[in-house]
Amino acid sequence: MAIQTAPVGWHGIIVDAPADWSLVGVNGDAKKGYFRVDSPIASALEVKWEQAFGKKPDLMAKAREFLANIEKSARKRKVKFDTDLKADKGAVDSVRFLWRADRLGQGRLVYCERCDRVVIAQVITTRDENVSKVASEMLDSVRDHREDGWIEWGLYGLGFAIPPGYSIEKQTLMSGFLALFFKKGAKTIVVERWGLASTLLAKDDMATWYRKDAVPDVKGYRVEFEPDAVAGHEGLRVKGWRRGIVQAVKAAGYSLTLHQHPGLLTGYVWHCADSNRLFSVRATHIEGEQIAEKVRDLIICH
Amino acid sequence: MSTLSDTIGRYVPMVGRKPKIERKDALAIIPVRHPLVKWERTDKEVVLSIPMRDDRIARAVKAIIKILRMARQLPECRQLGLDEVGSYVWELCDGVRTIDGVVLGVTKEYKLTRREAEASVTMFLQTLAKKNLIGLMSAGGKKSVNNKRR
Repeated sequence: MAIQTAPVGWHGIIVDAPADWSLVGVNGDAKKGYFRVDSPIASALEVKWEQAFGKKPDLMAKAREFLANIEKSARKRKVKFDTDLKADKGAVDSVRFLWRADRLGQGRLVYCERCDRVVIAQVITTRDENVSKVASEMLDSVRDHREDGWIEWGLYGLGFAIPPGYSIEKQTLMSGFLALFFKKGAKTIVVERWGLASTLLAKDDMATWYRKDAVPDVKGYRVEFEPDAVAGHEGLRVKGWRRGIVQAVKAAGYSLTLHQHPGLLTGYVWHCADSNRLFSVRATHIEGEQIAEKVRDLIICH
Repeated sequence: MSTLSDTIGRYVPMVGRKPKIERKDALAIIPVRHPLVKWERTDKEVVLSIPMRDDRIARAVKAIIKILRMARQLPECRQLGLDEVGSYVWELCDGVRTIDGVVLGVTKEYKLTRREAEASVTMFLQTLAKKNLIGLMSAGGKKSVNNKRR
């Protein structure tokens, strides 16, 4: 029986992990970073990436260095350690490894010439848990860019992509609520997801709930919304315009540069009854851009 | 491999590290509602009636309050309403279902991911346990707790 998978990843580095594995830690930026995904039992996927600075690395040497660090830690615990390392027949610029100590590790190093990044992914498991097939499939799915150049993100079943040039400013990762804030100059994109939608909408309709819950976080823009079908679901279309003295001063400052200050806000909110979740995408932009629409269309809600 | 403090801790109380509980053992614990707490379901929520303390200290405090005329009569119990999800979890705590079973129930009913449900349910059950509204029984009952301590 095929296991249901969901994309998990950070800053464009994505792995298709089983749906019941969860992101438990993230660190770093597009140049250097780390994330970890835990299984419900005792296995974990760890992914690290770093820039290669334009020089194609010797992946076998990097793998040996990586395994040497794990061996050092095993020797300190007086545990027998052995490894197996070989070039990946299935892909160019890819190396696979296995190590055995008190736990088992299965991993892959990949160099991407386009992104100039080395990605190291490994699945660590206990000796009595058999995840070798799942681990191989996860390692096969490691990717670090999309063909359209957009940057992919994935966590807790929410997968989407953001245009290049945006960096993550803030994330809120709570049980039942996820929010990611991206910024490029003065432009912003916010992607949010709420669980327990039926409970949130039990007393208020969507517009009232959104006005109470999300609109207070929108600074510098006056917003209006109207009911609209979004991705085949009951939803709202949010429109906004710049307001306030601070925003006017910023816009005046931007007018002296080659960049325009985003005077408009567009957003979409929808209720997916199948997954019992509420989704929201909103973006500030200049006239003619359709960023919120493109991000919205990439989100698969169920 | 036990450390010196663990070895001493076996014979001297309050010394040594607290025993760590594995996740699978934690999920096998059975939450049990306190028998003195009455509850009823009203429409969408569960309302708990928690009896007030009736020991010497509580009676003394009640007497002082009456003397100072701060209240004519103090209630025999206080009421606590649980929200929709809390009410559902309370009803699942039937003394037979384990924490894992409660988590699975919440996952299915509210379409949450396993991790979301586990985080919310365990935190909620911890709060109920701290308020002495539920007890947490290990799967084998008291015996298995004593065996672990050996």
